[in-house]
Amino acid sequence: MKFLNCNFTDLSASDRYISPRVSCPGENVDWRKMFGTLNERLEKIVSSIRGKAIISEADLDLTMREIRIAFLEADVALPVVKDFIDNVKSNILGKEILKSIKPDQMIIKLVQDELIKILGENNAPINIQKNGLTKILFCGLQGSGKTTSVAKLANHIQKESKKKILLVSADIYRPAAQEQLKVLAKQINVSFFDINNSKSVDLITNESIEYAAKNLIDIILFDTAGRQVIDDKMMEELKIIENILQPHESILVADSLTGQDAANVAKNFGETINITGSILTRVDGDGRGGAALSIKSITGAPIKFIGTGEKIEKLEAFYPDRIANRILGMGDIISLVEKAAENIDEKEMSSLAKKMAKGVFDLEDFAKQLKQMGKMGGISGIMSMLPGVSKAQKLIAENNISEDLIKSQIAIINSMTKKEKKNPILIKASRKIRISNGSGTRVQDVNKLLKQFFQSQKMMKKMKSMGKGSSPEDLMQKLQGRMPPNF
Amino acid sequence: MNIFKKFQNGLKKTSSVLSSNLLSIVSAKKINQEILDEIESTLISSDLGLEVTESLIKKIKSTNISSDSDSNFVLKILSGELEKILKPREKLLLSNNNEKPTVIIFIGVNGSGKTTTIGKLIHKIPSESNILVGACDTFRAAAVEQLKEWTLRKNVDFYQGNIEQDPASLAYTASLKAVKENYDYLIIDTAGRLSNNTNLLNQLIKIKNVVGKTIDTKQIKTLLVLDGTNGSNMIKQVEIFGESLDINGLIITKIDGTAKGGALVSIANKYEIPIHFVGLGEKIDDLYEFSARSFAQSMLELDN
Repeated sequence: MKFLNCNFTDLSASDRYISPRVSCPGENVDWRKMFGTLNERLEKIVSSIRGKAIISEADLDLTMREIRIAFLEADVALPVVKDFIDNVKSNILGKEILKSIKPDQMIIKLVQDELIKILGENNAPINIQKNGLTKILFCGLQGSGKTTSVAKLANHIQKESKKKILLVSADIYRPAAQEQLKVLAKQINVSFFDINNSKSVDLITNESIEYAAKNLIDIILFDTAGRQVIDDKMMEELKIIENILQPHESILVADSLTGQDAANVAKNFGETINITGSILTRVDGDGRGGAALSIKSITGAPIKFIGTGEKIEKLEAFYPDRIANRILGMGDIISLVEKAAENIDEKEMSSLAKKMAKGVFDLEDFAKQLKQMGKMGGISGIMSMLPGVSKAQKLIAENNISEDLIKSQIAIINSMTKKEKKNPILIKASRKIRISNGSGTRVQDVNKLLKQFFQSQKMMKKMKSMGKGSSPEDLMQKLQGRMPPNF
Repeated sequence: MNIFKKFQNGLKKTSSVLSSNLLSIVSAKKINQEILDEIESTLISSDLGLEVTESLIKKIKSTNISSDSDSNFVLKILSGELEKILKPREKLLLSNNNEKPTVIIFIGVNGSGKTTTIGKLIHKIPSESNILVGACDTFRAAAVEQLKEWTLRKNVDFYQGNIEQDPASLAYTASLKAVKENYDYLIIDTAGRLSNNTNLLNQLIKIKNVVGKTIDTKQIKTLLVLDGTNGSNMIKQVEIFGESLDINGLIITKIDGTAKGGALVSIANKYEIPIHFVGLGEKIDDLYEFSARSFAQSMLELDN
């Protein structure tokens, strides 16, 4: 984890020092912590029965009741919770394994099994036809994030294949809804079916199919108006669209902040049209994630993607088994490794590592390191995938270490001469002014960067002496207390 | 149709689920632990949250219910309790004795319904008032166009900047214009943001600060728009937006569907922030002044 090291100083500042620089309200919950509350509760519940050799039926009832409350508090819908509890219970009673295995482990195991059963095991990719036109219909409540998700998915498909994509909006109700999709289409450079604010959904559907056939389009992403599930007229309209369009995929877009209503939404959309998958949006918010369980459980269709930010590329394939593990407090190492493999220039990293091991490390290397970090979605993205580092993560968020900061630091280094990069001690007052002017930053920023660099250099020597093979957690512990506060 | 009826109709689906559940639970039987558990689950499943639910359950437990009380009895107790919690939060947003201009800044999570609510609100403000609407959502594609469309419907003045212009600079010039041209109201739409996004929260603080440079902060109201379908996160939103910005009032949207809007009660229970309006539909006049009694009663489908 050497590439992390330049900002390790911040992480290791530990809870003794929490920077007041940014007024950061509340906890900063990374999306990967979306089941954090549930996880905490479950751990507590499990620890209350830990050590008991035999669990009486009364104990079991109490535990199940607590699990039920934990799920409800995490916004999992009631019918889903009831099923969940019933299944776990019948598994326990049916198998009569109460006496043979450690009770706490057994319960964790059964809860985990059941979670995976609900969420599904593998990622379900979007179903795109090899030949001919693929039609994908989007539906959901108002404000669930349909239009944004349409654009994000288009962008995602476009990156992975050479398919020709057409975006269509049949939202004839919300002012400027079609305009919104049009702007997004232009942004990601895919075609938009412009029908000049037509007010007929049938017409839009029919003509867009014709248009797609004529223009050799491979994939239609079909956006619809937000609708309430009790609005019979609107639900009927959705049915009509489905009938005309004959989609290969019908995606339900749902807000991960949704509460108990998720059950109704999933049920009603599922009864109206044939939902084949869902996209969960705003997973980067601080919701408790219960909606994920509710929607998957009730529609029966897999969650295919999750929206993890406002930017167009913030859409990720959903891996249910990893989420299930995360709920029970295990990190997502696989995602981390995959992400690293995707983005890291291996040669560069290994040459960096060699330099570090030798203790020769200049600002040029520092800049390289920053760039690698930027590629991996910033340090908080990396840290969030590691188990047991939530404290560090919180600190990062509070210190406001962002991709922007990385960018501006790279700019600072780029504004230095070769000589300065090799030998940063040279950089004194007038050079600092020149560098800050050149990089569009302030002298303080240059100072901060230099300080950070010198500390990194020092750190590296320390790390070297600590030896290899430490886990990041061990390393964190070792570093705690050794570092001066604030870089 | 009077407002109560409309309110009730809007919430009908909401309440029928809740009350029919409750009715089926309490009719005929005596209240025992099992039934209390059921009631508890039902209340939680309307997003009321654990704290409020527990206090309601306690209330039912402590009330004597004889075998011949009618099945509505429990509902009436519950609705009375809900009303008690909600009552102190009733407050009108619009009043006449305000200094000019009154600035209303709309904030909220993406997709909570800010722009639509502004559209409905300008329809509610008496037409003799001069309104200026400032489109400070310069981030979301076509957000400006959407808002503009609403202002055209009511013939209200519209102030927009350039694409990706800093929203705070736009808010500043809008407030200068509002003062100079003597507007009664300046309504500012902002881009949706999640409550845990620090940078975007700071942007809101900045918007509020720059408006405060030309207009007395007493005249600035920050309204948080909440999506009624949100669950426990709604409370979190109030908490976190409230920590960095002084929130003067709440508007809750989208409770015309199956969403039960129950989280509203836990918010009312926890925070002393007025609830001004509820959004009960997509039409221009589907924004209603919040009434604790109507809300509580129609939630449980009791007659007025």
